[in-house]
Amino acid sequence: MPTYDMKVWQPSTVEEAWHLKQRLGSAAQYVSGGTWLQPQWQSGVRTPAHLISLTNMTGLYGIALHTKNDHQVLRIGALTSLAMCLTHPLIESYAPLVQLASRHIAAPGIRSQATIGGNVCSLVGDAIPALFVLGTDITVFNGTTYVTMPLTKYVESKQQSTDNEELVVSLSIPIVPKDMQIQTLYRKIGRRVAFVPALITTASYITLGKSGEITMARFAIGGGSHRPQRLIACEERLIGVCSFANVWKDYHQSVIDAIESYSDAFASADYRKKVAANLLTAHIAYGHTTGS
Amino acid sequence: MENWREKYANSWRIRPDGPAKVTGKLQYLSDLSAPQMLWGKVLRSAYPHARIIHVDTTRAKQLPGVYAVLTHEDVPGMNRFGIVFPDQPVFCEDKVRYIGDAIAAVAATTLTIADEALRLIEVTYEPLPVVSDPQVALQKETLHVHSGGNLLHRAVHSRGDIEKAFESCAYLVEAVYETPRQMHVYMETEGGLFVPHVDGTLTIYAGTQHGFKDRMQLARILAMPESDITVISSPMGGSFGGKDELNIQPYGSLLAIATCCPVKIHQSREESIRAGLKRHPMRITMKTGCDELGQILAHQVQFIADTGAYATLGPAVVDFAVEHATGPYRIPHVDIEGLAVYTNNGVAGEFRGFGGNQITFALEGQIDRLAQKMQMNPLEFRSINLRSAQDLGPLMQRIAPTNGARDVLTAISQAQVWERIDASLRPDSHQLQCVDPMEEVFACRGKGLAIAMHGGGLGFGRPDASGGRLLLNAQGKIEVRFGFEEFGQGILGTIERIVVETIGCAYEDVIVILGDTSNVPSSGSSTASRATSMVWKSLQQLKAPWTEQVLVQASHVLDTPIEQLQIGPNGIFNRKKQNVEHNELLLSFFDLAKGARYLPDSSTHFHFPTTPDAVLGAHYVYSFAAVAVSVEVDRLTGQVRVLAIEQAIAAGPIVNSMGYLGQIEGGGVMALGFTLMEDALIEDGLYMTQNIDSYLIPTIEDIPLHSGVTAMEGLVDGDPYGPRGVGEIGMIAIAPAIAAAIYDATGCLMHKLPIVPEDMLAALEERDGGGFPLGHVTQ
Repeated sequence: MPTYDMKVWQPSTVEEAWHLKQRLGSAAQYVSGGTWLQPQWQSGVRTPAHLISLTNMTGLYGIALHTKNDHQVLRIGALTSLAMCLTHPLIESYAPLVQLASRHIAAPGIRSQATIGGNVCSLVGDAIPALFVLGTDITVFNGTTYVTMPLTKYVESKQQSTDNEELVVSLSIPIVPKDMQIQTLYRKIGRRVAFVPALITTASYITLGKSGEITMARFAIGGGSHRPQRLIACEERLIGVCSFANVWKDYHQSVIDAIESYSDAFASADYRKKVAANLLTAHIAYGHTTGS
Repeated sequence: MENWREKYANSWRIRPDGPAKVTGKLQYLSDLSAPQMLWGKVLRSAYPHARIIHVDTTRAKQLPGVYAVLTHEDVPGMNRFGIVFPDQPVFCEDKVRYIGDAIAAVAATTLTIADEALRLIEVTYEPLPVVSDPQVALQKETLHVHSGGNLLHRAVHSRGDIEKAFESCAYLVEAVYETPRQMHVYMETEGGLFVPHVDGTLTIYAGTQHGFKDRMQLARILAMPESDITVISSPMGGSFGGKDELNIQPYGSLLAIATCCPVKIHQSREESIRAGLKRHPMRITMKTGCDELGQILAHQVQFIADTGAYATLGPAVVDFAVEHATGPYRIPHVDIEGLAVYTNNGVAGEFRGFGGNQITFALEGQIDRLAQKMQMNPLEFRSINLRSAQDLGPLMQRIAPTNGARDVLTAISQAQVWERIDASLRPDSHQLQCVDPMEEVFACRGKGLAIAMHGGGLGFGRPDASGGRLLLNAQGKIEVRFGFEEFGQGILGTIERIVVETIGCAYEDVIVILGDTSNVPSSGSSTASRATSMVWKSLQQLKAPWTEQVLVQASHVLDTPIEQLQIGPNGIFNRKKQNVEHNELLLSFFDLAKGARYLPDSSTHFHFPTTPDAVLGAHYVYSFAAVAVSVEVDRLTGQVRVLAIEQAIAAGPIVNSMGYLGQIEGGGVMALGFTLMEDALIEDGLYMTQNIDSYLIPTIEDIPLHSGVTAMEGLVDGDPYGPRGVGEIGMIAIAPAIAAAIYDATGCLMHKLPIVPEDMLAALEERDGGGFPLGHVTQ
């Protein structure tokens, strides 16, 4: 049983939090909802001596539309709870995939505590595939300035090294014109319907031209212990495709080939890849058949 | 579906323990604490199979705050426990046989110190090869888990000439079925408080399903007279069979006596999973044949149950499965063999259904396969093979005549499941704006049914006595006392209801006293669907003598002839006035208690009804279930969702309608978990599922919104046994019904539980010749 002999700091600004972390070093850890860290401590991961709570930073909450370089984006503060993501009208209107993802993460009590920023920082959160395919940017504070970069790049860099101690500030999801024809998919596959780690999570975002040809495609997988992955090679081969009937078999195989997965006591890597390929293939095929 | 609240309004009553439980106010026994209390912890084995070379407790004993460190050398009595076969060491001496085996226990002033003390106990092991496959366990060259060999128990039943009968069958099916190591997952893990007294007696506050049996076993271990031990064992936060056997009680008791201090032990979920009982995984081979008309002629069954490291009730579970291997069917030629085999895979033991779940999954699978082969409606196939009211029982023993099998089959043929099946039945349909068109394309839906027969009580040749006591106390309350336990099943409400109905008093007149060996008579165990019927029978027997005592005393107090008096709500009424509204209370129970020469007090003692035929373990009183379900299978992922469950139950008259419905629906949900997701995975004797974040039980999202229960309350004329318990019957036939519905939806025959998405997808691919099923969509 873990012992919770920790000192909790409650800075009110990003800068203050950053300096605290610099001062306390590896003995300190940022925490927002704590729903990711707590089960880790329970399973034996050593608890830090200091927790830097981010919950007093009012600037890191909230959901709003912003205009940036003539483009509108939906900005979600890092401390926004998943419960808020599930019910907020702006997310429902402009990022329904995030709403869908939020519904499938954990359970209601946890979602009211857990934050979207924490889900991203875990590097295995089920929101990441949805955010990936939406073309999300992330804004972080690096100690001197605020830096915005694609979320895919951020996650990739964190996978390689968690040494950098940027503080996640917000996520920005681009808003697309309303007349654009878009098909989206988000499915989290678990061993039961709710409150369960994913075996695999898939997301897809496709835009179609006037003739029904695919003009843009983003696919991603994640969930469980998967490294969240954009399936770039699979995306590229679909651009311009009008008739999926001739290519779906190759596409299905290309998804299986692209995914890096794993086996454990509960499911094989083959199953996880196959399910992701099935879902992503069906999504495109069915969309093309009906034109919906 | 029937609205029970309206249909059974007369007996629909909020259970007396309900409000305190749902508001969290109720104190369970593991919530108790005492002044100067110490914390107890148990050191469990580091290996699933090893010799113990040496145990050194020196450093642990030296740790400040540690009051006691005990090993097998500190057990004053018998260092073994087990309800029937006491083969489990309290503390292992020279060998460990599973990962939950206890080696030492400590008592310390804080939990942290107790944990640290466990770390300071040095145990030197010599690891042994792990016996993890029950089939391999039976091979000659395999190491023995116990010195007597790895076969714990063999049970057989045969009749007719099986080989000859198979030759004359027009249709034959043979299949191997596998079932999982299901866990009880009671909300309250094992725990309690152990209080030693200056006079040398001991009070134990810890949940069990049979307080008197715990007391007997603990007296053996502690070398104390049973009369010096009091076991207080209710209420519990669930048990389902899992707390029937001793768990932490020996350690808490030994530590309390050693330290002369109250000791509390409460296992974490990880400790509970590591040490606790599970359902027996079974591998069942069945070969079944019928003639051209569909009459089953021959049924051959062989199964191996993985009983784990110790016996507990493993032999009885295997006996039960052998008995129920033919279900409610007439089969002339039968050959059944069941084995319970020792391995190093945890310990399997008592669990709701008691072997019936596993064997019924296989049996009903055979019935469906034969019906498919004959292209006969599965309901019709069952109907032509069904037992009649006067038929002998499955082991050719005489049983209480019952038409339950026919009643439930007839009722389930009217189920609404057969009429409607579409996406609107999905549990999440209310959350969706509309059904996802892609999911709809790849959704396969189907319906299925199954039936089950389930014996109540412990069976012939097993001590199965019961009894109760009814008295008027000095405060004018009617005390009813039983040695049963409340573990969530609703026994308090059931007892109240039976007392009120039988005696004619009001609910507020009744006080139910349970689970305290110093204050209740022995009623036998709260297991085997026996408590409700034993309470009912007790009250039938207590009614006349107790009522007479009451009326004699009332007659004395009122100076009124006894013939003019009767018991009613709150006291004594005039018998002649039929109109209750104008019938005045002549004497309250309170005034009766004050004025009586003695307080009316009656006891009864009897045996659970058993067959007159000497067939060991055979049952006499049976209940029946028929289940219809609809499911949806996702062709893309292999995920299965249950859309609706309807159950028809024949278990005699309903006593407590809310409790009855709760047992049947709750059993259905537990069986849904058994069918689709629950399995305590073990590899080389080590649990892969160490907590309930990986061992999954259904959540509200997995449970179908459409759930119906139909009670067939009729009994054959002259049946004297009244209401049967319904604690188990609601979970027996769910798994085969789901498997049948999956077959209806997909054409895939699933033979291994749980039916996990990966296995389902593999079966779908095999059906389609491999690959992705997109052809029809893209053409």
